[in-house]
Amino acid sequence: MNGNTRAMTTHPPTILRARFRSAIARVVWIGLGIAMHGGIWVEPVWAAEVAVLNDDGSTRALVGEIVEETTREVVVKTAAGEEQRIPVYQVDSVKYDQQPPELAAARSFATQGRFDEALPAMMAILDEIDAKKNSGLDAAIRFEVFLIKAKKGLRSPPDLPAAVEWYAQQKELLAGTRHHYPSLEWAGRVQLALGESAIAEELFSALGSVDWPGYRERSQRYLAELALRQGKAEEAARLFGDVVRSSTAGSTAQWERSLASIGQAEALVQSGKAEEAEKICRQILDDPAVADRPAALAPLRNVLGDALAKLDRKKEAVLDGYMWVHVLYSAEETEHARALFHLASLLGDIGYPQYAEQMAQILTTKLGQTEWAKKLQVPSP
Amino acid sequence: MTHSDILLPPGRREVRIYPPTPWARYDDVRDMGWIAHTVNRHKGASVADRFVRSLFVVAWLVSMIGSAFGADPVLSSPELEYVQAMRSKGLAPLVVEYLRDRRKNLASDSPIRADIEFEWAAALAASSEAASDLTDRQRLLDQARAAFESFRQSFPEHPRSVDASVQEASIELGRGRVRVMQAQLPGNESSALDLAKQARDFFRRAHETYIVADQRITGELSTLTGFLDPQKDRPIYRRRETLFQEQVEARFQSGLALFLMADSYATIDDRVGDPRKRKEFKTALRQSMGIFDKLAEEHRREVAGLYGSLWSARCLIALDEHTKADAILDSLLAHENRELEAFQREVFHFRLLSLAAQGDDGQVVRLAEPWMKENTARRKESSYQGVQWATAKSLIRLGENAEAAGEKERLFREADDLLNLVSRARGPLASQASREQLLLSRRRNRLLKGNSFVSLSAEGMARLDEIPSDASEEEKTRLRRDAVAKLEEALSKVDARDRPEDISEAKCRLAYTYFESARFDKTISIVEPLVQAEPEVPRSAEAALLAISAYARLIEQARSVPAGNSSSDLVSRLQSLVSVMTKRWPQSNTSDQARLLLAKIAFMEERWKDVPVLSDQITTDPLLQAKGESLSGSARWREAMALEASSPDRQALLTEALSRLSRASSLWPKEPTGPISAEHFRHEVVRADAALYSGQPKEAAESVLLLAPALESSQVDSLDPALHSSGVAIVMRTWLAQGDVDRAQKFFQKMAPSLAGTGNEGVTRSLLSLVRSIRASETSSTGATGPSSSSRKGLEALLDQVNDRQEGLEPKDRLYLADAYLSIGNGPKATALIEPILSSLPPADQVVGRLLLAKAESAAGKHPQAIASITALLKENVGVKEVILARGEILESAKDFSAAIKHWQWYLDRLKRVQPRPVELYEVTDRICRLALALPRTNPEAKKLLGSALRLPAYLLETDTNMPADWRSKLTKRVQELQSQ
Repeated sequence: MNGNTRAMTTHPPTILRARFRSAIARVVWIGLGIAMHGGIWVEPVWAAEVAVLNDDGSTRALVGEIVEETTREVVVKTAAGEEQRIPVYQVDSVKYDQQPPELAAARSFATQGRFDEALPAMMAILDEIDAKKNSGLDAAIRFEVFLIKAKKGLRSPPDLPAAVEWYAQQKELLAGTRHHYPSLEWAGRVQLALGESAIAEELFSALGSVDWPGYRERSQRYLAELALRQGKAEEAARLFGDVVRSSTAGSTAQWERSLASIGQAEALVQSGKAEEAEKICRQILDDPAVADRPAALAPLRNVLGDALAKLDRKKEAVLDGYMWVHVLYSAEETEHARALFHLASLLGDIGYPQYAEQMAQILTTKLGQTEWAKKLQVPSP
Repeated sequence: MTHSDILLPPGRREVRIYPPTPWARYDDVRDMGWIAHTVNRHKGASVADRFVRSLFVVAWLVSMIGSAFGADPVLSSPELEYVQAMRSKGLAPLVVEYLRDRRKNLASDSPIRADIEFEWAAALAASSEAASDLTDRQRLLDQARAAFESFRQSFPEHPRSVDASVQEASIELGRGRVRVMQAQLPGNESSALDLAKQARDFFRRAHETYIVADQRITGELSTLTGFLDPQKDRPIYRRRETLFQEQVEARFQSGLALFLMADSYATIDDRVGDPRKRKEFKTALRQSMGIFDKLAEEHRREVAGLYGSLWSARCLIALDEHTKADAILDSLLAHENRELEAFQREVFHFRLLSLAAQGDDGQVVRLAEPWMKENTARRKESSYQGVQWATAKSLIRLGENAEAAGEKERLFREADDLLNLVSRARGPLASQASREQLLLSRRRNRLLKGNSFVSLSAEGMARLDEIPSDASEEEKTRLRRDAVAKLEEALSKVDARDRPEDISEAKCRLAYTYFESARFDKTISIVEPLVQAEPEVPRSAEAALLAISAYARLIEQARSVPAGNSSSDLVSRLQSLVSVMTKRWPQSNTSDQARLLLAKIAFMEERWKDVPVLSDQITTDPLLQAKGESLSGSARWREAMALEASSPDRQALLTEALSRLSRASSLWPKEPTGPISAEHFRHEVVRADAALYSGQPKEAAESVLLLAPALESSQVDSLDPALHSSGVAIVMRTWLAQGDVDRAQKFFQKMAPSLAGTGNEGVTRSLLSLVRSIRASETSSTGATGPSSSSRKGLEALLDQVNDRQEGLEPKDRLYLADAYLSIGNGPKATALIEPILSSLPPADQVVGRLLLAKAESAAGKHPQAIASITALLKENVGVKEVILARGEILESAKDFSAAIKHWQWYLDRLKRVQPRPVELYEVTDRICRLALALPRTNPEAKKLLGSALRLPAYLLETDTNMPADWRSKLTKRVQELQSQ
């Protein structure tokens, strides 16, 4: 049996009580197993606190024992004995009782984008965990390692193969867990960045097979992005348009629609319809769904910059587009690098060569590992 | 008491001034940003105190968290956040750009209107800091002041009108400082006292405005007393925070304004007497000190208080009360804290000022030297420059007191080096440092009045600097000669005491002077040893640049003399120099320039394959890379052209050429404001030409996008006429290749005045293409009716312009032009064009020439000549249809109807014998009919002709079953017309 004690506080008596309860639960499960199958049957039970995502974006904590974890849902048995089935898309995070305190520090490094520190910390934790006893935690950490490697690779393309390799090793293990669909999404993003269109398409299509609200749109959006990367701007604009017109309710779907609108504008820029793209971008700026969300505002301002630059309105491209990303949304590293790249050339064109130099310097020193920095160093023919 | 022991009073926070930005200056404390935050200090406090303070910390934290997520009424708009963020990142000039347009588009009732106006004014003030030119800075400050005034008048009740008062005071302070800097410039010696007076007026106004602002802030703060819930009353809570910060700032700056007022006596008026004896000087300092003391007292638990004490000490130093000043500075030095490092550097600076004022110059130098080494990374800070300045002044005083001449000179030289750094740093001490440098150089010259290397080279270089730019060439030559003599003499006196950097500088100046006088061999003889010297000597990179430039000129000269000396010796010398350079600086710009030069030489010597090899090694500078790629593209092009058209390598070379030329275009740095260089222009012309040759007009159009506007606005640097007309030609050819005749024509009309007298084949050919395209489009749009009178006029003007060009018009082109003239009915011009070239036409074109001449003569009304010409031509070319038709037409237009009738009948008889019947038969029949209809009834042949004319088509219509339908209907119509006669 993989179950362990339940302890939501560090107070020793509470831990003991929880362990005692967990031990009873273990005996019960074994008994049940014998009764049902006539032999020893192991059922996973992990005590944990599950942060459940509400519709409005807030979270609530659900404390109990995870009695079942599939690719689509997590079943939590609360202290009152009630079983709650939480769809995976509503699971914001899970705090396992068995998780070592170092995990919080490792996660914090990852959240801050300090991947080079987060990765060894995670791997060290992984080495110490007994995977057989704590398979839920083990899978969660393996997935988090994949996330770190994927994010690192997306920031610095030479690191992408490491993410692919790790995913290939963990794929089977993750396939039966709640990390299955999220890992498909990230694996798709990695393959997309590597230019492996066929594999990315397969992964994104699989992501669309799940019936969670907004996931079909997400899958379609990624497919549209794929088309865009392949230079099929017209097709991409059409696919993004399909997402924009979808009527699925819920905040995830709404968010996907907003991102798709930005993608649509980008596709229009690439297909030479910069005026139309500008119009869309300015409309999205007024959309409350993206307000205060740099993850959308950063690419949006960049696309607006692209459209204006294409229309040869360079000053507007700088001041209405790219500069916003530099001064307000610099936490979005890839988008920041993209903005700096364009600022480094456009600011010189509009009579501010000293700032252009400054931007190039920031790009090469602070975001030197990004593809944009490399692009700046080696001008394309 | 250390800073960490400072305890918080209830309801107050500890204010920390964060380390200043690299460019912040000692008198720029306000620019460092007064960022207030609370730090809970428990040491030595009672339990009750701790409780109150911990409550306070919690409240502060809650307020900070709240402020991160909530919306503030003043800062709620993302747009305002954006402009403020830009301003805080030092991008104020861009905020000005952004708001300039934004203000126009903003609705007058917009809720952010007032804030935008405030930001506009603040951005103007902040961008004045970025302006390097003092006049620009002054202008921006004036604009900012007006903008704030307008803001206060338009929005008197706006919460930020108090902030505006503080800003206005800061602007006055800034204006005063600009005046001080102007007064300290060596060039403003005569107006310095006036400028100082103006500066003091500004400082006084700034002081008064700060006081008023302080009163307003205090008034507003008095309405915000009592407990404020950081959550519920967050806007008011934050407002109180802001006001508190501004209050501290206003008080500090009011004191600083008075100090600067007093300081202006010390730094400017000192030239007319001891400022310390002036009452105003002392009064201002005492007042200023009073303010700083009060600030230190009221904010003794905050960093603002530390700065109050620091500046109080500064006033004491100025008042020569050093014991008190030192005591304060010593106590301040005890505050060791990482966040106070910038503050401590300022303390150190003031400490040196105190030591210097007490005459302890030796100690100043001893303390400053290791400090400057340790803090080199801070060299852009005002405190660092202040230390450099104080040290330089001490070195000068030490030098003045030194007895040994060598020691004197060493100290002066060190001082000069420091002053040079300060004046180049463009900080607030820059103009003072420039002035001091000038005074020092006079002192040094007096000292070195002998004929040492230092004095002679200084004199020689000073003479070079004094050459007026508007002097005549003779005058410049004379002055240069004098300077060269001095420098030569100086270099002959070099001894072991002279510094290598000074010797190198003198050599480089001398070499450059020779270069300017076109004595390139002399230049090389001076700089080449500098480049090759082992170990490396100072300024060798500069020498290398001069050497390769001189070699380039020499090689150019050698090649321009047909029977002159070969340039091969020069090239091999240059190659050996370049190999030294590339070994010494493999990745340097200088080496790349040398590589580019070698590539150019390879190109000139038609060693096509060597050019790309050399240019591909250029890596450091996009401009050099672009030039290299351009050269390589042209070389590949030439290489391709030398091959047979059927050669398989040719296409590959052409493709590579075009791709290199395109890459060069993308690498070429943009010239956003100024004109484009002739070299860049030439490159784009070559690229467009190559693209057109390869049938890629779209690629050519990319170059034309740059060329056309540059030509239209004459924005090309030193463009020679040949290149100019090549540019015009390529633009027109590109547009014609894209089918845009209209655009090409308009462009030509615009460029025509600038092309007058420039003979360039390319332009002529393009013009001819233009004429052809116009005629083709006229024909397709108007059909047989010919051009309209207005377009005929336009075409004639264009033809005249082509006709006026001497170069590039081949006889064939002249025939074409004559034909074009004929098409618009201008016979005389057509005749004038053909007559002179008729004999020089090749046999194949002889018939066409004579035919056109006959037609032209006819159109010009010279009928007898025309008939004679065409008849002679017909006798020699009896079977040529065009000649036969032309003779008939000429006879008709000469109104020689009987001869015309005979001619047509003769032709008709000939055609009748041809089977199957040719179309010409119907055509001639029709002509005869028309002639019969047109003949005046008085003509004796009219009646006879009418009869035969009627019979002929009637017969054909009846018997000819193969007659084409269009001719059938036409001839039927003719028969009817003849019958009606």
